Amino acid sequence: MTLPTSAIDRVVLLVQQIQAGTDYQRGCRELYQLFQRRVVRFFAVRGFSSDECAELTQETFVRVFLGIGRLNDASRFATWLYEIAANVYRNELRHRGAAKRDAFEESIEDLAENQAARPPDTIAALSATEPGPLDVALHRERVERLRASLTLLPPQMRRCVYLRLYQDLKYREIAALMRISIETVKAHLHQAQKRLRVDFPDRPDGEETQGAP
Amino acid sequence: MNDDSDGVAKSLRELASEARQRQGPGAHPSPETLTAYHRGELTPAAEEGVQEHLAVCRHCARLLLDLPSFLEAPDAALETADAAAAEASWREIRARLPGTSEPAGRPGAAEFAVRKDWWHRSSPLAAAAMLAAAALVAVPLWIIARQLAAPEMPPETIELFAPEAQRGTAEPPAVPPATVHAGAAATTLLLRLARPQPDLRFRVELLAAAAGTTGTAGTAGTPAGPSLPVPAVKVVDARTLVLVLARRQLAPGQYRLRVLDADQPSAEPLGDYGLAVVDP
Repeated sequence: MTLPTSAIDRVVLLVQQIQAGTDYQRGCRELYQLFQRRVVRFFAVRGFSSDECAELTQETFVRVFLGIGRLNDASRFATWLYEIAANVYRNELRHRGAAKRDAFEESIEDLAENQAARPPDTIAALSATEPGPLDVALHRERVERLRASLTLLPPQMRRCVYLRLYQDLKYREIAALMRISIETVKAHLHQAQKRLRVDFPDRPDGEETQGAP
Repeated sequence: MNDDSDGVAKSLRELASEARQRQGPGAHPSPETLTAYHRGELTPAAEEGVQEHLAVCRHCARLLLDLPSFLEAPDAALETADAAAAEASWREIRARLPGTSEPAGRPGAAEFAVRKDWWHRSSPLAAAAMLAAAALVAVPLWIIARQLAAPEMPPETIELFAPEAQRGTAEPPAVPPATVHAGAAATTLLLRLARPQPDLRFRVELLAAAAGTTGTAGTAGTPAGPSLPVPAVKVVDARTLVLVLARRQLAPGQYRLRVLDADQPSAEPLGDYGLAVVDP
């Protein structure tokens, strides 16, 4: 979806008026009204409660309005707002996960547990079962074989495998992340499946059709 | 997924964790890098690094996947259910911005308390003096209020181009003055300089042209008197400055806007623009 020209013009005008000191309060208020809901949503989908969302949204907009003089290109306001929201989010994660070894990842997993909208994590469910010594040994062997197989794959193909099987992303999401076409993603995963099948002969056919848009 | 493919996913999770540890705790690209990657502005090497990280980091992958929807058109209006909470939140934000001392949640309460206190303490004589003073300012205020009550025009944006001297001629071509509506809610003026001026230290003059002159930018126009107060001017890029005029900031008439090199104020202006402020 492209941004309508009238909406861009309005945002650009508001930013320029605020930067020029003309009707600062009214300009800030209108920008807040235009973008408030998406900032709240940005935090809500990351598992924060409604009170936390409100607090983090406030923090984001305060930083935006205090620093708006540094924004050189008014047409990039939405991108800049996103960057500030993402920085507020990361700071919050760092704050919460300061005592943990891998703050980002651990905090995300903790937040995900409280997030009703998130799809069930089959990997986490599996790992909840206590493995026996034989399971551990089989797992170690599987990891080493997979590591060796992945090393032989071209980098882009290997990344597609991670994004599909580790992150459980759809083809169109992988294509967007890697800045390649969906057809290329399908081709990469098809090739990867054929190569990995040597190591995992009982891997089911048709895996590449799952998750297709 | 069946058991085997789940096993692959579990193994990949472990390998991804190892990869993240190899990349180090500071390997997460900044949000600024992620948006630059999204726009395709990174070097091939930097792009490769971001892609390598995205493959093994759910956090950054999810951040980037959310970016396109975040950049969609702004919401036309808040839903009614959100409006009250949004308004309360806005008051708290406003209280943290400069130039606002009003207590959040009780707009106007402080001013009311002050007025009430003054009424109770002052003597009748002082009150009469205050009423007389109020009457003295009432008339001019009424005139101003009538002006402000005139229908407000929508904000406008005007692009002003500095005339460049054509080949073989010393004088730049005549450019008619741009029309500015005094009643516009705000007028954004984009001043395009004749040449790119990186790292420019500039000074802007706003001059009222003498009556009867045409105020043609770059050629005619007789500026009269010292520069009028100029609103804050911002640099957009090496060739563009922007300033915003408030509603009725300038009285109807002819004006000249000049952009001068602050280090060489007596040299030829970098931009010379004519403005015709009208109030239909």
